[in-house]
Amino acid sequence: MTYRNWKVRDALELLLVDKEYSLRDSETKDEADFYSKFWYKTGVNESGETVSTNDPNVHKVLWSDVLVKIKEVEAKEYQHDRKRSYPDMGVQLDYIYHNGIEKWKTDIVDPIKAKYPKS
Amino acid sequence: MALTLNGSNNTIAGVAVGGLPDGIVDTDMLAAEAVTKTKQAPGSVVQVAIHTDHGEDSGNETSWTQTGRIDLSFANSVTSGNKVLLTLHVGIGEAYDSSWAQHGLLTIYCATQGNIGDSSLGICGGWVSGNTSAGSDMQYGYQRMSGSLLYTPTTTTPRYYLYRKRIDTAFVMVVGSAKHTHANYNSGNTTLVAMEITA
Repeated sequence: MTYRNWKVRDALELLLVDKEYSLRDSETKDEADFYSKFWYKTGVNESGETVSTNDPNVHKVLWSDVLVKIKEVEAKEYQHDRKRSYPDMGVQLDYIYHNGIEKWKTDIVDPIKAKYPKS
Repeated sequence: MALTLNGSNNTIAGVAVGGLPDGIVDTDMLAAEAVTKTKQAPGSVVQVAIHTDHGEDSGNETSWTQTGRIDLSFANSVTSGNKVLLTLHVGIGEAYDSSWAQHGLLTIYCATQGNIGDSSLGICGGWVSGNTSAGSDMQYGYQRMSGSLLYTPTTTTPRYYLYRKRIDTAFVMVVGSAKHTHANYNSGNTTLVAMEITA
């Protein structure tokens, strides 16, 4: 299974609060691929350059833990779909002004909620 | 110095500067590639190299970090004392989700000389702006930025890499794509141009 790295990044943000790391490329295929693309910061050298490792025995970030967090991210994916589908706030306020709250709910909000249900 | 015609080796010596009439030496009379780098006027472009990358990199390190996206060298050695003009074009994405704005910075490292840009500010930086300020929509945004730098290399074979860092706290920034593409919307086109300029 291949994961888009925006999902992996969101999973890492949940897993590694206040830690510093890199994730290369746009996709992650599997455990071996993750360990080739994930670099964990271990320090800074004399010239101010990041020193990091992709050795799981050192950084202790397990792909299995990342997968758990990816599932949490995917469970909230509907929020992103809804957010991207709602019209501009000004358009919605204008619709409410002319048609009222109930028509706004049935005409604008409900169809998007139905299209992207909570998973 | 007297004008000398030497019939044994077919040479003329002693011709003064300006001693030939205008137009007597045209382009066809010059040997191919006769104007070498050392004969070019100051400010002339000697050679150009470019690397464009369509890949993606992300991270939240607050120190200069190799992106792995640019690896650029000249085809020929740089003449000692000449300058190099570097121009970077790059797009970044942001991870802010209902949080305050953070700043991302980019610089160019030379394999032998280290950071070519400002030690703190690199050669360009910024953050993804949008019509909702630092709101949750920032994670869908993508900001194109550029920077240039003219310097004198200490090596004749410089090799350049793209580095990034966060200036304050650790939020992920993305090079080459919006953070939350949610689809295959990789924007790519991270480009570094290097020009050798005669001193």
